[in-house]
Amino acid sequence: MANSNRLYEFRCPVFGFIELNDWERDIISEPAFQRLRRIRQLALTDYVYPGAMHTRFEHSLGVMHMATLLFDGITQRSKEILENDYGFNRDGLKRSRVIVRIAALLHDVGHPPFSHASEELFPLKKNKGSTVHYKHEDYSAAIVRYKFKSIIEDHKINKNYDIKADDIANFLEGDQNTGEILFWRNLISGQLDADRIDYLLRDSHHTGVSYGKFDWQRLVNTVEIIPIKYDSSMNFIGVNESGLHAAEALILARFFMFTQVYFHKTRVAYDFHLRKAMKKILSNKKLPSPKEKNLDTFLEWDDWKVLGFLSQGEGGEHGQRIRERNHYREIRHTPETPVQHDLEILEKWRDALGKLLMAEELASKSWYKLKEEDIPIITETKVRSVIPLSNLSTIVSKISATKKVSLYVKKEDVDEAENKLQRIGEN
Amino acid sequence: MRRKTNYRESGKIEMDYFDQMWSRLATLGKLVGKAPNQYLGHTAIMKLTYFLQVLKKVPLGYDFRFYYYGPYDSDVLGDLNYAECLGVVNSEVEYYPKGGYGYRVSRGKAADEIDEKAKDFLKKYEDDINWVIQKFGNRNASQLELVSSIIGMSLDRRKDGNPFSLDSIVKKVKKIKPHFEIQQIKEEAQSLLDAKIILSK
Repeated sequence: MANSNRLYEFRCPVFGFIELNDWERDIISEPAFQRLRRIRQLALTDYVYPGAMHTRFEHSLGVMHMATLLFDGITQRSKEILENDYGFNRDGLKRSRVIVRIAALLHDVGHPPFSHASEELFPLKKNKGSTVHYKHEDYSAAIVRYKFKSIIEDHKINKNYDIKADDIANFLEGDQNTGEILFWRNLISGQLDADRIDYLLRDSHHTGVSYGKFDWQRLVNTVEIIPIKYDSSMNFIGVNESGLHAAEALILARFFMFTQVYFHKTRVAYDFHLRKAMKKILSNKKLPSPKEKNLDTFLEWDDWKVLGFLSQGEGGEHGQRIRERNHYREIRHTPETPVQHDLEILEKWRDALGKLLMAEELASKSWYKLKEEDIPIITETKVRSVIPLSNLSTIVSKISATKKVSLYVKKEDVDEAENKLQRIGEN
Repeated sequence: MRRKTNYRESGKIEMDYFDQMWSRLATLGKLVGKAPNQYLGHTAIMKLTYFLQVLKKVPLGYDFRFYYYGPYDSDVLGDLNYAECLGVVNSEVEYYPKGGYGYRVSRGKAADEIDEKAKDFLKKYEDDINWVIQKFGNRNASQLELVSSIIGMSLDRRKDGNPFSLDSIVKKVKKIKPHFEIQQIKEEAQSLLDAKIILSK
């Protein structure tokens, strides 16, 4: 009889070895997980950074590994809070750890082809008073619920935990029915989360851009639960004083990776072309919604399928531009944080360019958010006090939200567009 | 060709990105300006924005998810950050005498200018903003955390089609908010029910 406690090691270019048990190995053997080998992490970023060919598959393993390190660090340093405030005993923590690992492993199974590049092709949904696009988290939760149900619930190792697919799906969705486990959701989605730590390190490694590197070991060794008395008293995940600069470096790494890699003008242009080409390829101009009946069709869509269409000449003008690497050229962009005057100039550019303007793309991100997402730092003095990172780090406090708008024209129109813009005297 | 966003109101009106942004920033500026003390903390802003969207259907386009600290969309804080850059709001850290800290957000000098850009939106939804402020503007962060969790739980229950049960809502809230007493949750839920803010049908 096979030993169900056996561990398997996977080589990882960022962390060395990542260990999985039988259950986790069976989960990753599921077709819906193997599909992640065919979803590139950074879409067509390799058109700019040739090494960026890595996939959601290795990222998902990395997130599971990092979430475990953070979880272990927290339980080691904050056991008392977990026991007193949440009632977690040894078994409760053991079960939470398993849920966190599986949720981390599966958090990205709902990504569409080319990851974020095609997320605008998700259909619209009504959610809490507004109409918004579905997010890949909605797809991940649905896929976990219906496609991983059996492998999660019926696996022999699960006899020790009685974990339901719904537990993992609710956790990923941020459903209130998740119960006290919801506390751990910040390890997958928050300012100091495993997803962020992994993608920065991994994308940095594969693109060859060093901006994304930071001292993650220090973070793991200093992370703990920090009770904060705002106008209410709540527990947050933060670091002790020794991790201050590692936390600061994480925020800066993210800022640099976005401005230098993720928002690179050519990469942004290819996201646009991909979206347009896929719209042509998809029969309804959008991806199917994450309803149970649609999941098989959704899961058929991966990068290979899209590239297959493109290689057969499909995708219209934008498919051709991708095949020939003939992207739209950025002709102007606003500052990263445009103020009203900059936006008035943008209006003038638009008017001057008229029909030459082919695409207007927004690079929007808030690098550091306060309150729930401010990283609390706790002193190591006898009487411990808590100070938000934004108050300890001048650099972090000065990073403003990015709302950069870029205007694109066809390559052959660049000269004419320049002339038009120079005529209005705004550069 | 201006960039169109996912923003649709009743499937009829499509706003472009900047229209949506001005509406959001103007709403944030209005909320803090109309608050009883002319300032709000971040928790209050998050929760009041949530109430505007889920209770009054003001189409702000946020995608609230639940964290252990309640309904949350990081875009609200992102917009707040940008609002501060533009001078729509001012924000400062406030340390409490008994330890801990919070943020005090007040209306900034560029707020009127943004109001002008979003004047149609504000005209349409001003009553809703006033209603939210009147009902919840004087609640502290702790109370808002509780109220938003009860409202969220109640809305989820309606979405799932489960029969209404005050006890089950109270139990579920207690599970994710262990720091609140059962009695306190029960009283708050009952008062929301009495005010018809949450519905039993």
